[in-house]
Amino acid sequence: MKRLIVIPWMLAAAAFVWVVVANIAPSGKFLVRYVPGEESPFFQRLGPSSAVASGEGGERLKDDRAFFLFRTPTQFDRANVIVSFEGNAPIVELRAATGPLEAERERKFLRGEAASPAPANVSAAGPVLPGFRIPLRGTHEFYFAPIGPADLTLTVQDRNRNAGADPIRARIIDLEGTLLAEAALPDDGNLFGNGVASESRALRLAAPHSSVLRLQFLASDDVYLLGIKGAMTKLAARERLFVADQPGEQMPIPPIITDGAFLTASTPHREGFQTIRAGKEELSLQFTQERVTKRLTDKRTSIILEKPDVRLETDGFFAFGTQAFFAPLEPAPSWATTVPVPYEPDLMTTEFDLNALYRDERGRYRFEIVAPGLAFLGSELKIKEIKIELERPRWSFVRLFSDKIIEIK
Amino acid sequence: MALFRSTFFASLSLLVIFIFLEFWRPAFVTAFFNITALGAVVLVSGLLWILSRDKGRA
Repeated sequence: MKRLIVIPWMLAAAAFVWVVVANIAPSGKFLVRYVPGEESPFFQRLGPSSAVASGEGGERLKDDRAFFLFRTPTQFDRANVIVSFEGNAPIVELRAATGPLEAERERKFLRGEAASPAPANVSAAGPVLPGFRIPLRGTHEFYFAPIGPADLTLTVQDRNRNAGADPIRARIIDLEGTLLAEAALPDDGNLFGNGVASESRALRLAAPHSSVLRLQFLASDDVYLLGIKGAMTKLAARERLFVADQPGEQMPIPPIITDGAFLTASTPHREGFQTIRAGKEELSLQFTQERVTKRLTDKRTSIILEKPDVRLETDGFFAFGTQAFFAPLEPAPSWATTVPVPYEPDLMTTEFDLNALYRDERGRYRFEIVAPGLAFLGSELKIKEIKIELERPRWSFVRLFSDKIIEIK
Repeated sequence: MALFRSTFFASLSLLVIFIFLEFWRPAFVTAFFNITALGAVVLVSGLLWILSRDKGRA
């Protein structure tokens, strides 16, 4: 009986040793899984609450970006973040904070109203652009620098490729998000998917002068935006540019400039098969709806399309020609964005160097899931699981006494 | 009785160490070990110890 009292103490010692060894992770590898909505010592749930819908069927992203905080039990060097999701989003991307949260402020306005200092690298002066006349398909978001009060005329046409109504909405918003002008057109009356194009119609929007304004064009891919007319010095489309197919006479497409860190291209038709040159990279479209992604290393990349009928996506801006190009929103310097590798349509894996990332005072890393256009399209993205594979060199006595296993951040 | 007593003290010691570790570095313990269950062991063994001691006296 006397000897039995040793057992609880041995069990306690074993539990202690087990916890310490588990933290040391002798193999140098450590796997963490998280299902959003559940409790986890490593993760703080997806936020902000305004961007995440929870309830039956797990947590769903309904805004363009949501973040989660993640902490490692001890110091690791690399993290391979695998996010599996379900839903429709033009792009899904993961990024991690490299700077303190105070400096984060999403994206900083380079140009703004008089209150903010004039930015050095965007000049309002420049040749006056008349707008553009390259047909685009569906929803787009443009940033433009008007000359005087903004007065835009959008020419649109409903090509009725798919059944259903295709209402069209357009609005002008300033950089603070204030709605300045709005216009809408009902469907053309043809609800069939018979491919009969409507007459081209015009949408007019006027707004007081501002250095930079946002034009949101919201419509299904059946709607072709044939052109925008208005006096401006700059005009760039954010994150998505769908150059429409042009039956009949083909309009030459000027080089498209982008500042994005990657380019994804796809085409809905066989007629769009081509090789796209983007700086030093080549994107070969050989299958319909196949999304081809290449990393772009230059600060500005010129994209040459052989023909239209191509959907382009990036994490920056697109413009037709260098004169029209500007990047009114500076990509926040406090984020490390790496190109996600979509090896399955609903799975992306992204690798981060943890030593380059910022840890807050509670030792947490901040990651953001970004799905540009999600809110705009009114769609939702279910985050099924987040898996993080942590890595560091194998455990050894030398390392125990040399560096960071016991390092406290 | 001795078994309950040693279980109580062993699990209580472990709980104190683990709570300290958890404060020192969050997720150090909770990632691998259920502290709540350990707390339950402390409570139950403590209760059994007291009950068995009272019984001994009676």
